[in-house]
Amino acid sequence: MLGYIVRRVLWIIPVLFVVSLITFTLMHAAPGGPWDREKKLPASTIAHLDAKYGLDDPIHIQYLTWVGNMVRGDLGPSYKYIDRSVNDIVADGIGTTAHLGIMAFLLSVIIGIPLGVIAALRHNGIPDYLATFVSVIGIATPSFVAAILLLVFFSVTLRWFPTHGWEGWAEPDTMVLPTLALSLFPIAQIARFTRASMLEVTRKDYVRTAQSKGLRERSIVVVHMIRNALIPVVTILGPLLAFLITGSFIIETIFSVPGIGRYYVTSIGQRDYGVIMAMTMLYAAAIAVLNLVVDVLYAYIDPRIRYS
Amino acid sequence: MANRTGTLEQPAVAERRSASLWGDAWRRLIRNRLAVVGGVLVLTFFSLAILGPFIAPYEYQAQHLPEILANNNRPIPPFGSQFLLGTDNLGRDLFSRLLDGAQISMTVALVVQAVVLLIGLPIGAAAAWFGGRVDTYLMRFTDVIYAFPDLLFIILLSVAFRETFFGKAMNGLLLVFVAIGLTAWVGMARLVRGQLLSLKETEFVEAARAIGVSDFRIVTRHLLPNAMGPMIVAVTLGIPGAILAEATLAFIGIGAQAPRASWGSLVANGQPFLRSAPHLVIFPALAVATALISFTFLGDGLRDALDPKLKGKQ
Repeated sequence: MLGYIVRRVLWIIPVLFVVSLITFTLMHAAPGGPWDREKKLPASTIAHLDAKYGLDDPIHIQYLTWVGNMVRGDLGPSYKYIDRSVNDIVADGIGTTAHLGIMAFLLSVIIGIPLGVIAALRHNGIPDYLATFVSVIGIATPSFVAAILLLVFFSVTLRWFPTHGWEGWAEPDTMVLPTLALSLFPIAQIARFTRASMLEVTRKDYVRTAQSKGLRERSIVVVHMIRNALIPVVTILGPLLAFLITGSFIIETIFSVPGIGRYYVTSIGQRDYGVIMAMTMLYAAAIAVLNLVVDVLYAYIDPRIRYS
Repeated sequence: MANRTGTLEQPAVAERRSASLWGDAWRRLIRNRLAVVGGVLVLTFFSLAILGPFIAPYEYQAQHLPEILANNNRPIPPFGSQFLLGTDNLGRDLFSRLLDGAQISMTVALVVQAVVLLIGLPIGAAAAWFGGRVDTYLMRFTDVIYAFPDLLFIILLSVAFRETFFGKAMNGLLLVFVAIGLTAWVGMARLVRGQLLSLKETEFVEAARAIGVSDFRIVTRHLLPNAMGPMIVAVTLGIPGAILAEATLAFIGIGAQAPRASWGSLVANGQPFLRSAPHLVIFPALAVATALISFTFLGDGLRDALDPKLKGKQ
């Protein structure tokens, strides 16, 4: 097991390397540069800026410089926010983004799993139809639509919650709408997955055995069904958490949440190379690490699985 | 059993069996009400997309200025004028624009899934068939693609290739569609690999090998047809994701450019008028929602009908 983990951790390095190489190449292949303005800067100014930031070096030198700096924890300067480094930008936003992401993740798990379990236990009954209805709404509503509708209904019309901003636990009402909007789809996804998995487990021999030897319904459901049914659900939680804690451009923009998700789109428009690279690396690392965690957890909760 | 029925009846039995695999699936599918509703809606969407230019009451980009002036330059509300679903603030007929959006969304559905199949299928098949080092490298490659943030990767691709011939095809839409496909094929590759790995060990494959059938032919004639069911399900269930990705990109202004009317850009354009003219957001949002639900229901129904593991579970 330890050998397996070590090998998987070592695999993360080449994955991040290739991801960074592709992103770096694409980014520099895109026409335009960080100094493009409505009113064109004089060529001498651009040349001066390029020289200052090393953007006139050959592309492979620039890449190696970036790798060298990144390995030492320096993500480089931002070309858009001249007095700030990419480290500052990430450090300023990551806390808020991760907070929002974890809240949404917990909400999705807390609502999604029971919803799926109840739907499966009352298969084709009213609870099943209600749960299915909720997950259909979640799947059919794009986050941008959900965010706009929540904003207009609860903030503008009812004035229950503020229209923008994020103050964390200091003002919990600022967290409600972004968290809801972000977790709508994951709730539906988890509920559907849990329901399907529970239905599958219901047919298993060990459940029938448990029933025929007269165990209480409650302990059959909790011990035999839910525990086994949740094993496949765990696999989708890893990528989901990675997705949520690295931020959503749509949600953070619509609710003006000061996280890092906002930079996914704007940094490319501004050719803010350092920020683009940082965002890519952050996401790739989160995916790689959380997938590894899931695989290890998988072996832990399901003793039948052995890695070698 | 075979001993008693004699030689004459055997061909008839074999024939009924081979016809019943897809026949059974079809019967299970049409008995599933949600799947039928989904299927009918999917067909309707495709028909609207193809026939849209002929049935649209107006050109989707035409501005009806006299009418909009008569309405004090405000969007015309639905169900009360010559414009069935009203107009936007520029006097463009919303129904006609929704039809154009249907065309974009259905094109996304097809193009993205074509890219997914074109890349995912050969990679998954090669990984499963050759195994060993090829398998390891191909699967690590899918890990790399999987690790890209989708949105960032799609935008980066579409910006980087915007000026090329390919980037200009279909007003730049084709590039965005293909970029979405490039982030979406990983699941298909893994599915095909998993399916083929288990089929590879079956006796009919061993038999085919024993009589000297070529590798390529075994994969294309024996393995892939047997993996068809789960692939059809995956393609159908992948479509809502593709439609959603396009709408989200259009919402933030990437992909479909004015005057073309993606459902996502219609929502974005309607957002400022949400209180005075909610129909500008509600109708496109309903269109996206209906499309997403239809493909999901159809996909779920197909899975129940085609997945032998779930047989008899209803």
